[in-house]
Amino acid sequence: MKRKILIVEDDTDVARIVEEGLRKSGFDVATAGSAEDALDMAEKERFDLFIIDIILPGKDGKAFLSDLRKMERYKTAPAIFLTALDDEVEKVIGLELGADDYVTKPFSVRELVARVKSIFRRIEMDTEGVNRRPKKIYAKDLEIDTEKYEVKVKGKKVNLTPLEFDLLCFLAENEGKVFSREVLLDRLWGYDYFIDTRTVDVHIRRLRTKIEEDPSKPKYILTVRGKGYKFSDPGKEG
Amino acid sequence: MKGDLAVFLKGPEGVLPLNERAREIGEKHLDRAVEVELPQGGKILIVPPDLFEELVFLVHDSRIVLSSIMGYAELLEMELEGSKRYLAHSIKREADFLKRLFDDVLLLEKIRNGMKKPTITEFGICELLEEIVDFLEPISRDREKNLSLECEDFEVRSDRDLIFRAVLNVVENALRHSKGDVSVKSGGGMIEVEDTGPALRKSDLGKGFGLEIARELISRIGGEVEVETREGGNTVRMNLKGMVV
Repeated sequence: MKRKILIVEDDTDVARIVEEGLRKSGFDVATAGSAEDALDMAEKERFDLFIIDIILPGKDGKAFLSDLRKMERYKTAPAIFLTALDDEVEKVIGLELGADDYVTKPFSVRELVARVKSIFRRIEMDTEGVNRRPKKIYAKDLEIDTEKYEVKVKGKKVNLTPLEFDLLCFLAENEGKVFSREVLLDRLWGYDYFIDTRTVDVHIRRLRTKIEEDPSKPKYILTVRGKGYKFSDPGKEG
Repeated sequence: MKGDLAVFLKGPEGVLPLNERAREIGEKHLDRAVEVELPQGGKILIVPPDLFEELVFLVHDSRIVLSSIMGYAELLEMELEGSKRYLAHSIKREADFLKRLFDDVLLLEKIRNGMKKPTITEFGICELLEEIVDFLEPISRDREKNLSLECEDFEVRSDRDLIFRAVLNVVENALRHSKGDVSVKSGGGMIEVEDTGPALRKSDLGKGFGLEIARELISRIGGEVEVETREGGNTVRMNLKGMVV
């Protein structure tokens, strides 16, 4: 059965682009121009994921999500925020407000689709109970719990987006193996053509700022010049 | 109107606004004023419009449209096959180039207003240059030009993102406007980008724009950009010696 997504966005162009992009990727999509309309629609139909613009006429995206979560069936419904503010602070807030991910405008449709897929991948694994991954991966101060989707550094929980988590898991499960940017894009983003390899670099950098003590001198996620990236357990060296 | 000249009369009692724009901006921009002596005695002050302010205004508005163009091009790219798909991809890539220029203008505005402070880290220059060359590889392939990198590593303590954007601007400009190949070299606290012409002139506005952005970004973090123009090509040297660790 097709997954159903509701886009809450008042900008017609953005809404149309996102709608088309998701539809081409095999999802069922509906659009609401305001939080009020979206709440109405969410009551009448059941949606599997919400893409929400933070700035909306009337009630804003954050208020919408908290109203939505008050409904029994949407208590844990996944959500992605769209934001025009490229402020780091705003991004942190996005995750703290209970959205699973955020995308900054202007954004790439395929990047958004990749994030949506990443969220659904996680849900599928949960519901099917098929988790072929080892439960926990340890590497020095880093602890990855693939069942709870939790990452801890020195025992402290770190907030990762689903795609960041997938990327870290993929590298960590294949410790020591070098992956080119193209391969990572193909495996995690599902791109097949004319790829923008910088997407990978941007995510790697973000991941490093979250898990590395000194992101400019990474110990876990290493750059292999001219080749790509690999995961390393600094505890195993020397 | 924003783009109008502001005209003031300078008399013994001070400064008197003579037109609407002068009344609008008041006396706060008089440091940019040009003084003109009148033949019948007395002086007038003329304040030209702030071009950068105008540019930022334009960029803010155009960015929204540009993001729609990129989105629609990407949808086409998903839809089409083969060479048509490549055409759609090219629209997106060119729009993306413009978007990056716009982003740089907005970043520069934030830096000028003190809203953005540099984020200082230590990093190796070769990794940064490799990332740039990787990033521009599709453009060099598309234009059938060779983009080479000869990298002698040095560690820098600075704002990585600023340097990345500055160097990207310089290399991408060279790649887009050069007749032939482009080479990037580093060593001894310097980055050198060499192209094979045509020679840059002041009047080459489009070509110089990315370079101007690079120049200001680099100077904001204590570096220097120098351009050497000769028959058959240009060399842009970025001096980062003050940031080397």
